[in-house]
Amino acid sequence: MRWALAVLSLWVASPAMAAVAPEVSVEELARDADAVVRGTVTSATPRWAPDGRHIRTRVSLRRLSTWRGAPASEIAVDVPGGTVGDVAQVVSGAPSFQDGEEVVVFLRAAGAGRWRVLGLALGKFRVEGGVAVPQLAGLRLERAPLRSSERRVESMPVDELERRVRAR
Amino acid sequence: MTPPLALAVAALLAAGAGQVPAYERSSAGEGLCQYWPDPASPSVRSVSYEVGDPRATPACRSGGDPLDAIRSAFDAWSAASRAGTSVPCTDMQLSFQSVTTGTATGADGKNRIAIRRGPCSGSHSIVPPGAPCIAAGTCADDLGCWDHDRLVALTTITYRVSTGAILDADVEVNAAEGGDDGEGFLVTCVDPPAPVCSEERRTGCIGMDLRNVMTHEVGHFLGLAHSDLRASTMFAATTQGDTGKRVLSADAVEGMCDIYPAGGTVKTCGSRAEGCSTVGAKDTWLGLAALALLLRRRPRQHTTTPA
Repeated sequence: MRWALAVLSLWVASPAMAAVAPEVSVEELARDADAVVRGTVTSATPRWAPDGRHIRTRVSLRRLSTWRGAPASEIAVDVPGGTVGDVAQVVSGAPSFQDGEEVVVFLRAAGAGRWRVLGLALGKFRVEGGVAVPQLAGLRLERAPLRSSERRVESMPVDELERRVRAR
Repeated sequence: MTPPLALAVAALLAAGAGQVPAYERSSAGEGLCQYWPDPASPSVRSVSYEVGDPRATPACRSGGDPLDAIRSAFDAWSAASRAGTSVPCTDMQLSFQSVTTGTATGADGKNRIAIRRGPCSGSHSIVPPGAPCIAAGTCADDLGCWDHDRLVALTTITYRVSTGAILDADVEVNAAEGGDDGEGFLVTCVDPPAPVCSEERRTGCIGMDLRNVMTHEVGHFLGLAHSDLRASTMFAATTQGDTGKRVLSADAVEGMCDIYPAGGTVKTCGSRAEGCSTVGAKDTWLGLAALALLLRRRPRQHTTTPA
């Protein structure tokens, strides 16, 4: 029956929605970021914004190392979208975070001590077994030329990602 | 790959090359998919939208009307008709309501198309220093600026977790040309044939074609997700100068007509136990037929033939 399930899986998937973005290099992202950090997610809490129209998820990160900028050791990042009760809001292309997840994030200051992820999903990598993996399923990428020797946002060893960010 | 699996794959690929290609639906989690619910009482199936004044933005300044481009994108989905007929196979009416001065998105019961006219941050920001919206995080809605860096467009969907029913949908397009480091885009409405825009050529050319972008985003607005078919309206890649997604592809038509059929009820994904992804009916039966054939060829398999 295993093969039959495999066949069924060919047309049973869980696709995501998407935003449109041009391809970009990690060096370019680093140049635009106010901070780039490697850290661990300590909590991810969705809530309605004061305007009553938007759900935002407050992600708390414990900084493991700083590759660019000078953020505090505990970092609060606001990510659009989330689920509150029976209402979910999905912003296409937005990254998602899970408790305990190790990540590298490219950040921009959002005022009042808060941060946001630069370029939504482009600016978040999950670190797994020494590899930094972006979650790009929610993005529709426009092909664009990159500078020579720079590498597009894609899976790569986390050491290489760090080297490229620091060299930018 | 085992012979039965290879045969099944071949059958499914053959099915995929048939008249009714697969389409994909946006997930609402745990087996549900997103959809606009039918009206509570028998009436016209309709979803309305309003447009933040696109003529007050940099979009399409080199030719064409941005409002026409947006309306044409919605109209393409309302007029979806299968090959060989000009009669729409859906009765979903996507009704243009008005042009507004409002630029807010989110769950306010208004489905809004907002062309963002400048960046919210950086040296080209249109937000005055010290504006209250900075601390509140509401500058995009309050001032109509783009707050998502390098992205071209995005869709925000608010839905019920328990059912997948869409409550509100908004589309934002980044026409914040002049933003930092190319974070804005030259959004154009020039009809083909025309050259692709470049650093040297900024008028009379096709850059990020608004109608092309909007036709794709309206697919998400309606609950469709990306397709793996390169020729699909919902294919997950584009290029500067692309106008090919202005016209609905066969899989997009099938999705519209299957989910929102003329004279029928909206097609949900049933219970949470069922999958969200959906294919055209003919594909399904061909796929099941292939499975039935394979199961008959494997009598020692402890399975039953699908009904």
